[in-house]
Amino acid sequence: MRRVVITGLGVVAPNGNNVPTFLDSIKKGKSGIRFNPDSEKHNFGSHVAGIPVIDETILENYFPKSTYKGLKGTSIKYAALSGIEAFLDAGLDMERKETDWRMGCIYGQASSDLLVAKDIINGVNKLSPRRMGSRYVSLYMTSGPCAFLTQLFAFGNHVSANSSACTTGSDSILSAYQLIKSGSADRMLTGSCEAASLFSWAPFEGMRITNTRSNEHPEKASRPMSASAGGIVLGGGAAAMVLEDLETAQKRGAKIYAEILGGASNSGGQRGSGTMTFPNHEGVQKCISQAIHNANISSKDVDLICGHLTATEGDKVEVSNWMSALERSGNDFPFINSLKSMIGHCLGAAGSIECLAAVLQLHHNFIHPNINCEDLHSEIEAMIPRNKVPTTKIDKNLNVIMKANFGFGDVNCCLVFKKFS
Amino acid sequence: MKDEKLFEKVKELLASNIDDESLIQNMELDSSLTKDLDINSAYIIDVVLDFEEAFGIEISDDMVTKMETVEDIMNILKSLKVTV
Repeated sequence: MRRVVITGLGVVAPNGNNVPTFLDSIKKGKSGIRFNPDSEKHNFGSHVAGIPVIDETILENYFPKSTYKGLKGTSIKYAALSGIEAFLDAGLDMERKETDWRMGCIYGQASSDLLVAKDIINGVNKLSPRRMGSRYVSLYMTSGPCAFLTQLFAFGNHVSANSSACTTGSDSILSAYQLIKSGSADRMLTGSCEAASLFSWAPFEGMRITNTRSNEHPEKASRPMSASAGGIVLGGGAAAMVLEDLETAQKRGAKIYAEILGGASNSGGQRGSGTMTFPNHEGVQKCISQAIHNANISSKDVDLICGHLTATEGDKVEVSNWMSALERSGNDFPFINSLKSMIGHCLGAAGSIECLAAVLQLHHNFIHPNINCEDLHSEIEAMIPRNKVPTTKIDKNLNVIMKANFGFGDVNCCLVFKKFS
Repeated sequence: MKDEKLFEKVKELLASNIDDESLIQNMELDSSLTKDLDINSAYIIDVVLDFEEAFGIEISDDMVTKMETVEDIMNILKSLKVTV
């Protein structure tokens, strides 16, 4: 059977716009959440957000001039930056004159870039759609990020965009893994992006599930698993990984970050406890169990859970689901952490950025801190010991990490990463 | 006879749509926008918008369909009484 390994990483996150900076931030527990004057100006309840700071000169250097001139919004820029970094990190040739028939791309987003949509809507409202120019189709289509990545890297295998709310990023990695595992492709660029924009965030304000209590202390706003969690903090960004068939990677002497042992995705069907906005516990547990089965490991092998954990009431339910699915509790429960404590909820980009953080922890042997969780929620503390939710970095040799995301529509995705040996 | 001033202005406006610097330097009156200057045919409309904005003119769809070379652009501009 083919084995699938990770050979390249790229990230644009609120607390780091490249892998070295991001790695340093998550080791130190550095928050990327900042005051956002635009949110205040537009009467949002939450005035804080995770907005990446990007280096446009990289895009200018790699895209043809005529393409760069037409780039608008942020999601495609984030996607391109993550892809360029992952490609370079994997040691692949950037000068690609020929189509690479054995390399494809699955790269998702939860929604198309609403900053771009705003221009389109304005064009219609100003009665001048014929003066919008030629670029908006490729910018706004859901597969826009894939299309621009293909322009850079000449993919010739499967190229498509996926979308499944907050599971988008982990789902894209799972699908890319499956294509390599099945032999359909030798190498895939995969990941996801989400524009950082008020337009993406406003619907969550409408639901009144954002944290409005921490506007004076942005870095304290995202508080997964804490008693004082006040709701989600929104963000944007992107992450990309190069996945590769082990033999192909070894043949070219590629650096290997980790192996993907398997994963699973499913839906709770919006039945039982499942609704449009809340997961069916049975579906979550089945997804985790199936991922363990597909990865051919025992739940006892899991060293660390990188949870979905959004700083809402759902956190304690998630911990309970992990306990049931892994059949581990008390001191036997693995360590658990939430990257959202540092970067907020990056929506469609959450899964890929969080998977990338999981891979970095595995590769560099550490567990990043859960910042803002000094006051662990009592119902969570009743289930698992305090020390399983570290608030400071732990240096530890890790072997297996499980990463899950759960999304609106009652969708679940879980992946198993293993240190390569 | 080539109107050098207009030609240089057209060249300047086309440049932001052409990726290869040597194609800009070697531009001639009879250079095809798509074949010689390698402008994506779907992006020709962006060239039109650039000219409309620069000169405050409106280029009709009929004119756009006839716009194949640099000289075609110059003729369209002259027909619209554009001066530089």
